[in-house]
Amino acid sequence: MTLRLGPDAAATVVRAHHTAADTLRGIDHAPEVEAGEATGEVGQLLDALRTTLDNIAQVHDVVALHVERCATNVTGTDTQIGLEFATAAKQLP
Amino acid sequence: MIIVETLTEGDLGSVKAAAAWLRGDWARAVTASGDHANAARQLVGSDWTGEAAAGYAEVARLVVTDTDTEAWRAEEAAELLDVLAARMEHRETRMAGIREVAERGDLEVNGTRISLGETSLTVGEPDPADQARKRAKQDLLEDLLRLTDEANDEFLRFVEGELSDAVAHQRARAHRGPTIAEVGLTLASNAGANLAGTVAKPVDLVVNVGQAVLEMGEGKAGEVEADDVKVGASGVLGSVVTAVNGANPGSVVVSTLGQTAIGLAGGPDLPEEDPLTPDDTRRRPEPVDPYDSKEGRAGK
Repeated sequence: MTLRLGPDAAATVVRAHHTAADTLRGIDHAPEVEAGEATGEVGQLLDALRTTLDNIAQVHDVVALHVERCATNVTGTDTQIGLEFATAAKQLP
Repeated sequence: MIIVETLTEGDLGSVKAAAAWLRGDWARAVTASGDHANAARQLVGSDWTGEAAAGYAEVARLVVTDTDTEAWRAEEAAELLDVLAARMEHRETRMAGIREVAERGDLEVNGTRISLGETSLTVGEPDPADQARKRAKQDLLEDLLRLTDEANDEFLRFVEGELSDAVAHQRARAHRGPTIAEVGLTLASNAGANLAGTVAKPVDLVVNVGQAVLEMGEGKAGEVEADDVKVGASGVLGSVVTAVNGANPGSVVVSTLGQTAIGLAGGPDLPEEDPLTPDDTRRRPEPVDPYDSKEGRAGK
């Protein structure tokens, strides 16, 4: 049983999650939409999609943070971190 | 004097451009992000075991699945914008048709406005033929006014109905937070486990969940019920949980609750009717998860 992720593997995994988050945050802003009476709804639609991606990006960051901790923490924290992953998972839409 | 306005607001091209943007830049970024997350999952593989590893595997699986879902949601939103663009175009076409009819009926068309035009004063006995022509023009103008109203009403019904429902659904997903019952039960459970020995008198609990303020009613620790919760707003991330002792705000209760693991986010997607789905023929594709298949595990 390996309770501790190796530091090299952990660093790579952390980078992958941060890259995944940055990729989502790096999407350009939506083009201006002038849809007459529907302009407000379209704006809200695009904002909602953006917010959902921001939420997922934040979960990636949280996951990366906890993977870093797993690379350094000792066995006694294993159960606690498992609970925190579960908390992070619940933030997904 | 009746003036019929056939002007339609909005830029059809901008709506189509937004749909193309969702299918292009947006979809590419979401797909790339999912690829990065999947690569991280695969790297961890089975080299890591224990509670934390299991927790990581689960959240990584969920985040990959949710990212796949977002790609699908973006396509749904793009299709909704396609429908909006088609509705806008349809209204513009109807308005152009109305102006054509007006011109053929000898009404005055000035840009997008239609009117009877100049009327001449009649001296002496009115000419019956002239009066009949005027009545016909008046009737035609009133018909065109009705058709214009119908075209506008039809578009507004779509905006306030189908489009608004779909937007509300997306907003609910984006801002989904903990249910009142979840917050109440979690707090009660945590309070019962962690605070019962610490807090000996009734407390007021205030929970800040992102932009939300959940006010818990008075009661002893461990006696918080879902009915005590009042929701002020919604929001999930960047959450801070604090408990304020009624007599001594910022007391030890704050730090104790702050260290407590509380599930702040909402649960799984509810099996509700999805207004973004246009008909029964389209079904959400099952996300491919190589780790759920024997082939995927074997190949790892």
